[in-house]
Amino acid sequence: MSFATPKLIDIVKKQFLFKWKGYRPFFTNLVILQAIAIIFSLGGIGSSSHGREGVNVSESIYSADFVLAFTMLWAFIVAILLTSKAYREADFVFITNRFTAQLANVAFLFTISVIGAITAILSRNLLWMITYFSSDNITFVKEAALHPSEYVMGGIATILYVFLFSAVGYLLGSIVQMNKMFAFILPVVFIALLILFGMQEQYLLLWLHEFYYQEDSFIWWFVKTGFTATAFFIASFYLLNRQEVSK
Amino acid sequence: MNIVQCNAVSKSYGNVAALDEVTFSIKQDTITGIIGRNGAGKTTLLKLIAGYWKHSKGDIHVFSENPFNSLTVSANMIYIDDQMTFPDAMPLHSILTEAARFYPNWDAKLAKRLFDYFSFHPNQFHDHLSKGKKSTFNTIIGLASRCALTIFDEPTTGMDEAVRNDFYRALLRDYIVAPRTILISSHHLNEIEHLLEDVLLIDRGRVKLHLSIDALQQYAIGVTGNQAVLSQWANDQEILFSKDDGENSLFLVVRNNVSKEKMDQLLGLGIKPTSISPAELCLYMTQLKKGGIDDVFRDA
Amino acid sequence: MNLDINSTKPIYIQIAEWIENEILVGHFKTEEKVFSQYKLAEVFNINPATAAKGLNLLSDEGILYTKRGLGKFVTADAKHIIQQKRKNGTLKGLILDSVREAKRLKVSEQELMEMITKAHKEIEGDEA
Repeated sequence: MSFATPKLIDIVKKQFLFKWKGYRPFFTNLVILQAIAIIFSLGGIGSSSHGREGVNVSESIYSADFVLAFTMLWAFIVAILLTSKAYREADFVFITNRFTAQLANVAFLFTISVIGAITAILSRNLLWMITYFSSDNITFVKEAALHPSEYVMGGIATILYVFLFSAVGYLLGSIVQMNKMFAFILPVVFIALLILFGMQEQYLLLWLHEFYYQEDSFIWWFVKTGFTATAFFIASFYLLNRQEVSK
Repeated sequence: MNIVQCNAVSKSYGNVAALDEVTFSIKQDTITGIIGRNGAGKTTLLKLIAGYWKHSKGDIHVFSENPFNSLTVSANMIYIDDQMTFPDAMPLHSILTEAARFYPNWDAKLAKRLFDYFSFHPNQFHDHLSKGKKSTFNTIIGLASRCALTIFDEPTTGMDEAVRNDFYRALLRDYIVAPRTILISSHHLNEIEHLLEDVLLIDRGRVKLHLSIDALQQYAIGVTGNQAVLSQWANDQEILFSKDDGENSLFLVVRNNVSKEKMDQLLGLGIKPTSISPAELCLYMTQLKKGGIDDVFRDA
Repeated sequence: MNLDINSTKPIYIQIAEWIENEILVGHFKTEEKVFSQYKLAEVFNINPATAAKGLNLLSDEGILYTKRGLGKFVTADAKHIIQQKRKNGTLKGLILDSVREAKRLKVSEQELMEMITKAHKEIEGDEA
């Protein structure tokens, strides 16, 4: 009997496909979450109305921000789940080591980020359609027409944001796997930080907002966000790579 | 060639040693029974070999590599137990398809035949199976993957007797067709001894015996007789187990290396030695107390 | 076919004895091939290595011989060797048991010999 020496990339591919087939229910969850988000968004995120000389004009601003927020949350939770014991054990049923399992996880999270982002973007159109068909006398005022390259950049940005959230979830999940105590400590610390920063005029949150969200250069923003996600994953790799598969 | 080589391997949790300086090696293409009582360290040992857990001290080599985190070991090894978890949403037939994708030596025909023989339904979910059915399904994966190192950790949990026998028979027949190194742990040595070439007896984290099944069969003899007479006779023998059998009667298990002289002496006393089966021997050699459970009820 | 797993005899010896019986009754004839270790393993549901031990035991005793690449074959002397072996083995054991029992009962050697002669006569008388 010969001993196969496997190629790393082959095993990662196999693990990725295994997850892709096995974790279909995540996508059902995504559809449900996005549907809920659309329902929330139907009321519009802002409105004003003014009437003059018998004409009553009401303005509503519709946005798919809710859908995007829910999608990010979804990616965050999926990432945490992937680090949990049950999911890691399922990796080790078939051929893998810790590194290939993790690479397959990142590939899987990136794929779901792409799917999540694209469906979130498309849901904006759905939202318009629903509001269009459900009300009379309506005029759409779209945002100023975008250049196709701006659409692409918007798409990439959305994907990367969702991916970044999954990276945060993955890192938090990995920390909890190191010691279950963190499952209690982390939320407490998080809430404490919120309160603390709430008192101190939210310097950190403001800084985060400025650093990521308000970056004008797309390239710079891309580098910053991509780098952060990568750093989170590397940290997670380091934590999970030493873990025993406890059965 | 040795597939598994352990040199003074220990595994401890805090101060508790689950394995304590274990040394042994497993030859290629043998079926070895890993025998021991609950908590003896069988599972710990198998998980170290599989590379799931990390040893604390010593040297462990599987296919000449440290198994922990080794892709080569993982690619040539499969670990079957009753804890195997698969993605919830994956029906049995896709689990088999996935296994086939991973393992280059996968025998799809065998998998299909066993699957049908044990009347599984392709669209069932692993999670919905009964305990015995789960174990049965897992063993199908174990056999069909035809890995160079196949580890079965208590594979028959929950199976009824008929299925257990079917599994043992399937294991043997497939081994004859495709010889490979198989480790199978069990507390029921008598059920599997006919399959085995070697036995590794583990007791409280240590290797107690590592012998061929035939050597084990002839390893010890049992003698019963008058307490005073027998203890006098046995004082220069290697006693493996002793038990007071009530009124002045003593039962001893001694190494089967009694000299001809001593044997004649014994027979002269009217004591006929009985043979000790491998299963009995393993039981005797892993008693927690020399006198067994009766010691608990004995007045000080 | 089943082996007596609970028997006091190791499995490989039981295998060897089964082959011997087959030779004695003529199922395996002189210069004929006997079952391979794998065939034996399958038929008796045992590990092939155990079956091989049984075959090797018979080779060592001159009951079987190996043709390279072909398997194990029955030697010309096989039947004779088996008969001799069984005579020496079983009969000798019975006699030893009798001597020991006699010793315990304080029966002298001479007395025992007389008993044997008597038993001989009785059986011959029955047969006559």
